[in-house]
Amino acid sequence: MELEESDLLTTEVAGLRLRNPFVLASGILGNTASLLRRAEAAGAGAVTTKTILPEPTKGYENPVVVELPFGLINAMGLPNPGIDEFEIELREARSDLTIPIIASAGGGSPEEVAHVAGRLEDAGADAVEINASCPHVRRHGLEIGSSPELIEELVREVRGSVRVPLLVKLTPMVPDIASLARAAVRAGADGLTAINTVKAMYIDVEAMAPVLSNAVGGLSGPAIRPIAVRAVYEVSRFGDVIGTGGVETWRDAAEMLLAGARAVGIGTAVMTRGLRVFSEIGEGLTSYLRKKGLTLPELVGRGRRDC
Amino acid sequence: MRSSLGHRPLTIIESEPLTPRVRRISLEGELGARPGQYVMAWVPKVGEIPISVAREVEGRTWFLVARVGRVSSAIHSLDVGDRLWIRGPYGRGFTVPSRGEVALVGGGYGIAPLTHLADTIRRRGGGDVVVHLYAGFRSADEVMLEDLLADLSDELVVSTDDGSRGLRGFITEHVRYDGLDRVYTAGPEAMMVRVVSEAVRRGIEVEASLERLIRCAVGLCGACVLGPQGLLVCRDGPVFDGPTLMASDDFGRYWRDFDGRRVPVGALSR
Repeated sequence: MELEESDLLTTEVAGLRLRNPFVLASGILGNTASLLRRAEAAGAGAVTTKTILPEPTKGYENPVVVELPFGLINAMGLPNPGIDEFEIELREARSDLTIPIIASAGGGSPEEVAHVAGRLEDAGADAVEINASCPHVRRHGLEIGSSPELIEELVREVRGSVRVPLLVKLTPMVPDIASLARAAVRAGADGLTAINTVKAMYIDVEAMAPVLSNAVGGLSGPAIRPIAVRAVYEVSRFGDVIGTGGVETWRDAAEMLLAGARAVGIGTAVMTRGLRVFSEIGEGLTSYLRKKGLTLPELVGRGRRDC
Repeated sequence: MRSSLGHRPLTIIESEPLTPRVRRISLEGELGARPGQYVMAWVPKVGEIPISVAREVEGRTWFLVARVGRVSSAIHSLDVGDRLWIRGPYGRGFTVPSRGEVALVGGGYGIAPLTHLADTIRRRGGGDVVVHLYAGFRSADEVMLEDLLADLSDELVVSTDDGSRGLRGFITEHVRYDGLDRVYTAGPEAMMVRVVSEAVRRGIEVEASLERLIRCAVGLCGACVLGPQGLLVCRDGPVFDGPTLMASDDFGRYWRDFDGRRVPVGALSR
């Protein structure tokens, strides 16, 4: 029996049921209900909010982005209105949107992240994603996110305060990302988001200075896609994965799914292609699945040697 | 849509004070900006701000830079021969009219994008467009580019709040809407609210250029969002039409601060 067009792309990841596998990645247009509504209208299957911290945070001075032919380096510095203010925004978003909202939680300690995560759940988040891998803000990522022991401690703490599905966003900047995934799942995570941006720098040779005010930022976009595909391949045997990193076309999305992702994050492509990227990738992936005679779940992991 | 990638250093060939607060900075080279578009200007080791393109003529690009903060002060102190790093142009500009009668209503250095628009109409052989240019300033010492604005328009009306030059009062009190096909405005938001609501009330097409905190400039960070539509000033704007603005609960009321919290227009920290 032919599947309805609308069913062909449905997927399940970490207990969330999605109309399609395309998830607006954290940090992209996720700071207001109005922008989350717009991403839904553009065709996203789920949206992730900007990372929310306990207190309002201004982030870094401009320049905060460097555009490169193969990607983008950003160092926004986790600007966010803080949990008190964002709760209002999230409640509004939850009452307006029909697709799942994944709320990204951050903080300077496991207790802080757990506190924010619990309040995000109370304000209507359908899932919480722990941002333990921001490459350019001290105490908000890599120090914790690159150690399996610290990840385990963090996830255990947050798990204690949320009942909704819990995802952990992983950094690729470790020798063994599988050990991070294993630790996260052991501590109670329902899924993994792989990967966060890769620590990077751009120096302007005329100015003879780094462009970013913070000097160091996170590289995203097509440059990191092969890294993301490899990471997804390595971690998808430990749990459900949202494969994120440089996806711009339906081919890129298919590659992520073949590597084992059950959903696909879209971030930097919103800059290069605009919000219509969601519907464009959806159309392309639909015809690919039809041509192959496969459903989306049948595609997941099919590119793995062990499948 | 993006038309360039990364910063390009451009040499300053003129830096002329127009008023005690505003300098005209001319850079070597044209950017191919449409009227209403802006660039991000970076002073290495200082910072980066958005600036409207005020004119592109004879191989030069003009900006009108008001001294408001650290980065604009640094730009003011640059000398001829120094360089300014530019990325862009970005955003959606004004609809350039090909016929009819239009009014351009600007306040203060908000006159910059309107200068670019008037110049573009002229250069496209705008014989079929009648341009009424209204320019409001606080006082005589803030009036700028009067001769050029007169050259680029069929009628120039200048006003100052204190009447020290031109007509007295806010420029919005002097705009004649009868017979206009379209109105364009840029400047203080309270002024634009008056112009946009009056034009919409009269059924005249209107476009306004908005100012918000611009961080990424490429439609990713959401710092410049307008609700409830979720429009991005950096990319969907900075120019928006009247109905869009009248439907926004932020127009004339709120900005987002650096941390993303809503604050009343004009009450911005830093």
